Amino acid sequence: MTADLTSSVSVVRDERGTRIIVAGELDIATAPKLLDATQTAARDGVTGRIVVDLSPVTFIDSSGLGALLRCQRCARQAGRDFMLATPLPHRVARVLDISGVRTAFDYTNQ
Amino acid sequence: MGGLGGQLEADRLAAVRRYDVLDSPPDGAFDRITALAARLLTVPIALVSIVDTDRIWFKSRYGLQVEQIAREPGLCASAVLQEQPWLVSNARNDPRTLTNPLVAGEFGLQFYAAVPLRTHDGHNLGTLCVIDREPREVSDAEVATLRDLAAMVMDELELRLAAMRTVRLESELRHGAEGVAQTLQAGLLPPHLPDLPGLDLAARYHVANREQVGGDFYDVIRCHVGAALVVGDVCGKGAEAAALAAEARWSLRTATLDAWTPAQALDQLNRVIIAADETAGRYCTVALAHVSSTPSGNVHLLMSLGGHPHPLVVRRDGSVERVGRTSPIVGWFPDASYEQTDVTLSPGECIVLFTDGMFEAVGGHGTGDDDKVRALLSSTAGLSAQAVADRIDDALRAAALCEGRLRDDAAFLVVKAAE
Repeated sequence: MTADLTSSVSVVRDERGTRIIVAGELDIATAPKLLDATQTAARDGVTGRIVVDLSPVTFIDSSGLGALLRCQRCARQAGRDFMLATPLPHRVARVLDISGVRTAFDYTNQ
Repeated sequence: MGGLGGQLEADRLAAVRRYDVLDSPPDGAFDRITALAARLLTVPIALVSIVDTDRIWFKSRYGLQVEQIAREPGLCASAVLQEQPWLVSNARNDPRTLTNPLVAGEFGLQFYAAVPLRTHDGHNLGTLCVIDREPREVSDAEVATLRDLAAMVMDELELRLAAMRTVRLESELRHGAEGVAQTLQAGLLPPHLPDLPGLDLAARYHVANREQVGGDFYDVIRCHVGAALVVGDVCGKGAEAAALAAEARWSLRTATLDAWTPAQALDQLNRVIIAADETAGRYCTVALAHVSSTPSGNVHLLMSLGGHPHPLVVRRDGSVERVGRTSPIVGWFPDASYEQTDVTLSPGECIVLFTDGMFEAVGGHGTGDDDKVRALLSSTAGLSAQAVADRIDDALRAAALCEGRLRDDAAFLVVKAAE
C-alpha cells in the first residue's frame, strides 16, 4: 500500500502531556501505529493529556476513524484526557460529520 | 542396456518427475559443481546428468556442447542402475563399454567415472560424472571427492524441491483462505433482489482485493411496508469484518421482520454489537430505509443513517440531492440515538445508497468532495435502475484502471420509482 510510504505517526512530549502527530493517510496501514502510540502514552506513567494532531492528514477511512475511537477509549480507561487538535483538516472533519461522531471528541487548539 | 522396465524404473522416473528438473534453465550452482569436479579430477568433461525415459539430459555440462543424448548408448543409464560409483578406466578394453558408440565412435571416450545422484528414498535420478578421452586410473580419494560433489548436487536438488513445495503450499493456503473469505462474503449478499411492485431495483458489489474480504454489505428485505433497503460498511477488513457484517445484516433482518422502524432497528443493532463485545471496538455504518409505493405512484422512504454517507436522490430534472440526517456510527456509543427522515420519490426518480468505497473511487481518492459523483448521477436521470448501476460500474472500472485497482470494496443500491 502506498500509505506505508507517505504516512507517519510521531510522538512529541510537552509540558501538558503527549502530542501524537499523524501525517498522510490514516487508514488500515497507519491505524495500528496510532493505536500503539496512544497505548504507550497512556501506559507510560507520563501524566497529562493526550492530543492527537491530525492536521497533516490527507485521507482518513473507517479504519482510521476506528483507531481514533479506540485511542479515545484507551486514554479514558487510563484516566487521561484525550483531545483532537483543531482546526481539523477539512477531510477529517467531513468524515467525523458523516459518521456522527464529531461531538464525541474533545478538542483543543493548543 | 537392459533391465530398464519394471516397477523400480517406473518409481525412479516418478522421482525424476517429482524433482521437476528436466529441461530447466541453466543454474550456476550446478555449473560450479561440474567445474569443480573437472578441476579436482583433472578431466576435460564433467556432467550432471538426469536419466529420463528415453534420453539423458544434462543439467550442467562442463566441457561438452550437447544438451542431451539418447538413453540407449548412454553410460549414465548404466550408472543409475546401481548404488555404487561406476568406474571405467579404459573403455576400449572394458567388456562393459567397448562396443558403446561413445567409446568406439568419433567421441572417443576412454575414461568414465560416475556417482549416482541418489534421493533420500533411494532413487537414482542421474549421475555426476567425469569423462576423459585418455585412459586413466581413478584413486579412492578421487572417488570420495566425486561422492562429495554428487551429494552437493543432491542437496541443491532437494533445496529446489523444498522451495517448489513451499511455493505450492503457500499458493494452496492462499486459495483456501480466499475461498473462506468468499464464502463469508457470499453470505453477506442477497442472492437476488425481490420483485417489488412500483419499484425498479439494482444492486452491485465490487471487491477490491480477492484475498482480503471487505466489510461492505447490502440487503433488500421484504417487509410489512414493502421493503427495507440496507447498505452497510463494517470498520476493518478480513474475516472479523465479514463476521460483523453478517451479524449486522441478520440483526437488521430480524428487526425489520418484527416491524421495527429504521431508527428502532439501528438502535437495536447498536446495542447488540456493544453487548457482544464491549472491548473489541467493532462498529459499522448503516443506511437503512423502509420503502413503500403509494397509489399515486410516488415512492416513500423512511430512512435512518447510522454514521453512513448520505444517499443521493436523482430528480427528474437531473438535479442531485443529499438526503437523510446523520446519526452516530452503530455499535460504539451506548447512548447513541437514531433519527429517521422521510424522502419521497416521484415516478422516474431514483435514490442511490452506497458505501464510502464507491464514493471514494468515483469521487477521486482523498478529494473528499462529491462533485464527480453528483455529475455522474445527474447524467443518469431517466435511466432504468440497471442502467444507472451500469453507469456507476463504468465509473468504478475507470477509477480502478486509473489507480491500478479499487482501493476499497464498493457496494451500492439503486432504487427507482417506476414510471
